[in-house]
Amino acid sequence: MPFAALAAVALAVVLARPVGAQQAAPVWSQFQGGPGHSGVLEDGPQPPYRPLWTFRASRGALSGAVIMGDVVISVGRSAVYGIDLATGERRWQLFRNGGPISMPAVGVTPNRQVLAFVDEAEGIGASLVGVDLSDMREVWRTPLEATSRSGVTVEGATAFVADDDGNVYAVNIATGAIRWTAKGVGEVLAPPAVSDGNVYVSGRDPDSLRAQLLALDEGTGRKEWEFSPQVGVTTVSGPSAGDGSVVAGFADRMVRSFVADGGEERWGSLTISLFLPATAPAIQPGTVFVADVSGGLYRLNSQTGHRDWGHQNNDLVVGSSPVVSGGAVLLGLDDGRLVAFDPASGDLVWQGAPSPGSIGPIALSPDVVVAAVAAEGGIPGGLVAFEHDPEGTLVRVSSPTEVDPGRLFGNYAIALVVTALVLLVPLRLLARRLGPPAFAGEEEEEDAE
Amino acid sequence: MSKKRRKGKGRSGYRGPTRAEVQATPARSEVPPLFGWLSRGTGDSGWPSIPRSLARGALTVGSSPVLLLVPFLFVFTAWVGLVMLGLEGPVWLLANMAALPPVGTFFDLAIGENIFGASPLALTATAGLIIARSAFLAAVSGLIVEALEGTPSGSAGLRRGSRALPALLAVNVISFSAILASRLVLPFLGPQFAFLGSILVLAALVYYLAAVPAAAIREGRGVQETVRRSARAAAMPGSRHLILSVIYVFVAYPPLILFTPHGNQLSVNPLLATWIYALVATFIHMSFLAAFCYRWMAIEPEVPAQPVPRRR
Repeated sequence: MPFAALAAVALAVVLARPVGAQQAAPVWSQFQGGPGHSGVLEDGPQPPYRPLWTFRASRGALSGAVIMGDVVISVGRSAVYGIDLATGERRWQLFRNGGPISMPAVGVTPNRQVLAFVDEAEGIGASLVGVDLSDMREVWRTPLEATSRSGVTVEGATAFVADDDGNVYAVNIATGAIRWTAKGVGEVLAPPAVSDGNVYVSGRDPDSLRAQLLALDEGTGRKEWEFSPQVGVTTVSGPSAGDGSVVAGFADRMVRSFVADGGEERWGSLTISLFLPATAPAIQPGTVFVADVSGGLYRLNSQTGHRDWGHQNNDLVVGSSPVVSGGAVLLGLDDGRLVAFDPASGDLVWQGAPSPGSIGPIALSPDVVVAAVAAEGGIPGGLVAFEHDPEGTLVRVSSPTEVDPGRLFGNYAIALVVTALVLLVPLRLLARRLGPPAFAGEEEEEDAE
Repeated sequence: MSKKRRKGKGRSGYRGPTRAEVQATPARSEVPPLFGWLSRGTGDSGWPSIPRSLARGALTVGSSPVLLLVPFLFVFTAWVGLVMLGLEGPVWLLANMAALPPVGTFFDLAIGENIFGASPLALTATAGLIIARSAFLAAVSGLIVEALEGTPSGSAGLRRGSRALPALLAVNVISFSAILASRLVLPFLGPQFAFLGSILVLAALVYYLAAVPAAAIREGRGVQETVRRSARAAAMPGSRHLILSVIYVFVAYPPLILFTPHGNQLSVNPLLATWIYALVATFIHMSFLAAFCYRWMAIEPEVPAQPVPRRR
């Protein structure tokens, strides 16, 4: 089938509804809310929350969401969904050929709002697709050289995407024309971050056990600098950038900050565990929030890397990145809980009920929190939305890694008494009956002689 | 130990039982039949059997309040100290806090890296932990040897234990070096063989070095000669020492960790169940230490002064 014809079929609008609502300004236009992946929405909803709606894919999972006005957009295995932000009802659906599920992004040109996502057709390969959100028409389709799972980032009029071979593409979102390409070390599993005139790409080559944070010139794609930790450090998180620096977590448990101009390492901060490639830090002026795979959420000083606090959740963080919603830091856990923390103290202030499937990327609007949920146990993945619950209650739970003298000493003291008594009483009685080992008795006899 | 007993004795101050003496020793009628095997002599080879060694080790430690309290307090003190240094868990580390080298050395290295990452500070912390572990094991070994000799006195045991400190430091340094070397080499064998290889390295180190504490305390020789005598003892026929060494490594390395209640929790306030488990695990480690001391004391006179030439 000719490529153009396939593309036309692929973009059939299954449910046609007026889409004027999508003309609203982007609220959460891409992964972590913006091209730098700051993950912050100052006027986002505050905890406590209550479930608002759940949307399940027909099969497989859904990508993290982007929010355009009152529409939530998410990429599924065989469709792209437009979902009503208030009700969770499907507004529209675009056919998708397939391929790995990754984050879409929305960009604005003078004439239109363009949704960019990756599609992959068997026998044809992967493409970056642009859809005009005003009429839901495909306006361009740009072939990629390999399968892509990075997700898309849009800055200004350019979409950035990378593929499994390490190719990085800058694509004009008005026309679909490739502005430049560049080459990284290997597969890229998080959307590039764009800030301060640079495009940051975190990649890895599993064969050579090499990870790389690559900085490219946003205008030309020329390599500005790169950082690769020692061999064996095989993964790096998605980058987050802003205010002249870029931050990423590495598999040697280090969170590192680099100066955007030149790539000098500004600081490194040790955490408990490594970082998965699909996650990224959240950055506010003066502060970095980052979550490692073992469930540790940390607040770091963005100037020095000093850890202000760390909260261990004792559950994995597989696909979720911290986001700052108003006065709370939100994170999704592997057991399906959405949890909220006080950014000042690090105390847990709210947690949702576990849902089937790990919580993935979180999207924010002023009234609603939308979290992607992975498929699990035959239940397809989907999106779960929360809103502020004025009647809900907040909790205050400190990290289990903060010393609680009463618990520490009390539990030990009880254990000491119990264990000592259980061992001592019977074994002492037995020892009295048996006496010392044979050779000891012999020694005494010898001495007596 | 009385002056009379020390007078006129060689460096060891101890003469092992002859086979005839051993067979004649137990007053069988006074011993409960169920546990009679605990009081028997050391058998034809001079080595106590593995079950008897372990049972005697457990009995020695478990029947002595001092030998229980000192390790239990060490575990708590070490945990609090490590938490103050920055340790945040996981709590399964408690299960091997009192492990014998090289298993303990392995965890000293892991704890240093846990707190400080791959940095020079981690090596410094590991060195500190090794010194602390050596001092602790030297003290407990002194108490165990005194208890096995039938003259437990506490302070005297601690003093005698201090004689083993240089040798235990040497054991830990040897273990540390071997673990580092195996880390460099074993990854080339692939993940499964690397794991098996790491277990074998640990077992080999236990095999050759397990008798060092008792030998150092009882014989008072130099570090080098003590280590040599420990290795010579291990190589003596009929010891089944390799089996006991492998048992210790397999007990201490994966199972004690895996079965720790809430073991993977990152917490500095372990639960009651975790503490109880950790103290029982500590008792197991100390029982093995006592078993190794017991076995050394049983065959001490038979350990050759010079390396035995191999038969061709």
